[in-house]
Amino acid sequence: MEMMLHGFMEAFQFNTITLIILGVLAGIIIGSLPGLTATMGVALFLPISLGMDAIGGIVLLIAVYFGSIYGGSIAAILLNTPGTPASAATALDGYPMTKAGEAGKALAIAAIASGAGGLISTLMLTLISPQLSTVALRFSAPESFALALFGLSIISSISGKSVLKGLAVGVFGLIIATVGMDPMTSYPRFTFDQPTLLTGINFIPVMIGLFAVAEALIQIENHLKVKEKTKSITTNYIFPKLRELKVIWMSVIRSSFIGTFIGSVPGAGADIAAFVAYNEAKRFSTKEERDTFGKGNPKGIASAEAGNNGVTGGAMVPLLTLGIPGDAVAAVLLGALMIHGMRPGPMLFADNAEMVYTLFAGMFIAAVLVTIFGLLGVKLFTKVLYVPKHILLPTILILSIVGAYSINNNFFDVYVMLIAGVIGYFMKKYGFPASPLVLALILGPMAESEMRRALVMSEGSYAIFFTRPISATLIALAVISMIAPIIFRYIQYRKENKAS
Amino acid sequence: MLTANRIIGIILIFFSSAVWYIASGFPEQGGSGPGTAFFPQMMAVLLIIISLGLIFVNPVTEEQTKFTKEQLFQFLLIVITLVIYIFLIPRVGFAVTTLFAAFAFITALNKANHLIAAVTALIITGSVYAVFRFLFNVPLPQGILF
Repeated sequence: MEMMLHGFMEAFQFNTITLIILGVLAGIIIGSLPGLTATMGVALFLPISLGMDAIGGIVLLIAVYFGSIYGGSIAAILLNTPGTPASAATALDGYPMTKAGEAGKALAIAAIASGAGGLISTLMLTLISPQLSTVALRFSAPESFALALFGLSIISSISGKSVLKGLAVGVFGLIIATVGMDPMTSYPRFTFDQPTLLTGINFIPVMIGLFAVAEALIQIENHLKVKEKTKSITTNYIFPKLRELKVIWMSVIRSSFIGTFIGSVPGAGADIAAFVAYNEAKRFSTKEERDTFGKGNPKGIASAEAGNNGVTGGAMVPLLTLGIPGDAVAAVLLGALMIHGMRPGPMLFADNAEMVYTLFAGMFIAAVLVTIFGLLGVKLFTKVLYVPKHILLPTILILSIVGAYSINNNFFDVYVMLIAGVIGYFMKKYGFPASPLVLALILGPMAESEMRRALVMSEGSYAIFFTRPISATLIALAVISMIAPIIFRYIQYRKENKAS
Repeated sequence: MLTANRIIGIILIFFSSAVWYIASGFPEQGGSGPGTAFFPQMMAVLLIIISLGLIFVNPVTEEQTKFTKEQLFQFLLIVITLVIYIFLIPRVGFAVTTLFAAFAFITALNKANHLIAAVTALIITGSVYAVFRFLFNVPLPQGILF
């Protein structure tokens, strides 16, 4: 409690609170632009955060994350085009409300539900993570390897349509992760006598390439193929009355918990949480009410938004306590923490407790700000939707280049970013997911060095991984989380075949 | 049929074989446990198996609308501009190259008034330069110009 209070005091320092405000605003704008995802927003802001102290930089990124998840709902409600994939469920009821002339009400509900989702999930994070990290403190090399393996097994569930393609990307990433000095013997591997490669391939430029440049190239392609006309938005901004909000509070709370839970399960992200929360809200409704879902039911928006914002705090649980990123945004945040000199994992709570609690405080503030800005700035954010693509896309490309360069003031990183961008473009085009590559680049070195360290401990015997209870459990979990999605998909495939 | 999956599968098999071959030249590690080459070689074998999967299972890839000749030309023009731009930044300097690149991108994406495109390019370059150079203190590449 004392730590938390201290965290709030730190977060309310002028510099920090300014960064949170700017971050939330920037996040909302990025999120509201269709095509710009939360991951892209955080990846683009990462290099900017490097010029700041650790606390300021991380809090800024978290604020961007919170803002962009909410921002996605603005385009979803007004244009029926989700700003981020996480807001697809919001469009189901949000757009019908806009058509019925209730856009203001829909946007306000989204802002309130988003803030509540963020608050509840941050509260859960604050309560759960210190406990979890004390368990994780007992980890030695075999457990750390098992943990990295478990993190990698998530690839199977974040692979999108084809597990095979996800695995191909993941293993490719694990090979790329071995570039640089061997963790045990320092022998240079695959460096081709290039001194810049000795420390390995920096994953931040890779991420900027995969999530910003590749996405921009895809958008450029779409823009050239279909010349979109900007839809005009005619709406009113009448806010809901207090008694209208009473109907949704139950959905908001339930969905926030669902979001937190789904977020804390590595591999499942905000888009899944939004749909699960939406379906649950529908299931809990009366029969007559159920038919109004999809036709402009405020509960639909509330549950989807509380669900996807609930993920924000949830995703931080495995990230901060175990050092395993739950989704792509968390992977970028993991990179940010590492660059700022912190190693996420159990030691983080012991070594950087002050920083962790400031982070928690920052998240609480960001969640509240999302609601405040969401309610006050709706008209302004709507204007953002008019920014034409031919200005937006070149700006993203230029920002990616400057961003990649400013990580180490090194142009080599820009080339890495360009190559990652081009590879990412083809990956996206042919249905190969990008997240497994990032996961592999981050967890690959950990998996390899811990495995070899453990084997030195056991004098070469692989039994060490299976005779220690925590390590054996984690390996079992890894196998389950690797195979379960494949089995589920097979069952679904069989069902579909039978039906047809 | 030679689908995208199969082409990618074949490329990955060549890639993995090269990884295996290079890694086999790594020195042995003294003491117990696997050595320097173990992890990359294990991954190379795994990638070959997965690539064979890509070739034989050939997972469904969503059909996409194809580029028309003119669209493809425009798209390649933008990508080539991007590559040349990145190549020239450290040689010529950030500000000048960015100004030209932004102008080229904008006109390629939207055939509007050249003057408006030039002003927009100037605004984008100016704001990015100002924010990174002065606010975040990033020494942007100067090259022979600035």
